[in-house]
Amino acid sequence: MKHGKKWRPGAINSMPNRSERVQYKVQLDALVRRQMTRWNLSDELLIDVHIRLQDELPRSPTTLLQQDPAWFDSEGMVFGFDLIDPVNRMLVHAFRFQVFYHVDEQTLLVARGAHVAAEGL
Amino acid sequence: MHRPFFGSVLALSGQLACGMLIGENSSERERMMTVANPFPPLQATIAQAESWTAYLNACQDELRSQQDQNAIASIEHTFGIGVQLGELLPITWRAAFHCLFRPSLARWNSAKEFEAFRQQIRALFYTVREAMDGARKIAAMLEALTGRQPAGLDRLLKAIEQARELEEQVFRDWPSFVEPRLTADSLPVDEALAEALDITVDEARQKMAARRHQLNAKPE
Repeated sequence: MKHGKKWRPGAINSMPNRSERVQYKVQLDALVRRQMTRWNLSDELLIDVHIRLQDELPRSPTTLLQQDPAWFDSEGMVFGFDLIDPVNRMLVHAFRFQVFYHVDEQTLLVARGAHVAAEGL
Repeated sequence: MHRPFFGSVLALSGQLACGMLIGENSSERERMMTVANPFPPLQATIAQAESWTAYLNACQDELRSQQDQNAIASIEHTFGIGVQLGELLPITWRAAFHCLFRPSLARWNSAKEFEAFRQQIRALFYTVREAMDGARKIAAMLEALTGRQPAGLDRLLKAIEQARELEEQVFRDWPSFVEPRLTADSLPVDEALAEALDITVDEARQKMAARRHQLNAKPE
């Protein structure tokens, strides 16, 4: 069978997948903001955490978000990452955030978080 | 007449020792039992208010059924507990708040602990306000019977209003982990950083941009 000119095999279709096309926005709930204040992070580390939430999470939430029954009573999805302390490089901070999709399906609501730090994790 | 005072104190103490609070189901109780109690006087205060509520309800029944002078004098004397409980409420709340958030405690609480504490504070306000409402009803009954207000009624009414305002203030910005979440008070990431660092949003964006530049220049 001969295909027309507009017909292209799927393997070379340049259409990005759905998760890359949606412009996701990240919103931080008041609760998680208060939690982050209580963690007493340095300004540098606080900026790094916010950069992760602003830059990484909305880029591909379908890949990054995971369901993990170990966190937040299995509610929502978990976005987790570890950061080396910018001041003390022996100190590793582990962060886990609970994330929900808002009903508009473009907003990712970070509802609450957990933080633990350990030396040489 | 049987006033279920001491019996109810014992029963309620036993229930509260197992983490039983107002409006909980069995799974909720199991959940509450697994978490640490950061402020033990909180449960004692709830148990006390609960037992006084039962006693004040029994006093109302007594006033309805028999109205001799001895019973009236006794109940008029007891009415003052509503005032005492109401005036103790803000002090208990402040102490509990201080206990949970003071920096000398653990750096972070688990979600379960934080939610359990919130539920206990809910129970504190509920039970104390119930006790005060019972005392207010007794005051109205006594006034109808004797033609005069019991001493301390003005303090009770003030404590009732203060408790209502305080409860509203405490829970306005304290969302539950198990109740539906709203996004009304959520912020975009850059605004959240500005809030955390107490700087403007533009300054927060600049700090993030500078840090991105630094990270890209020296990838870790």
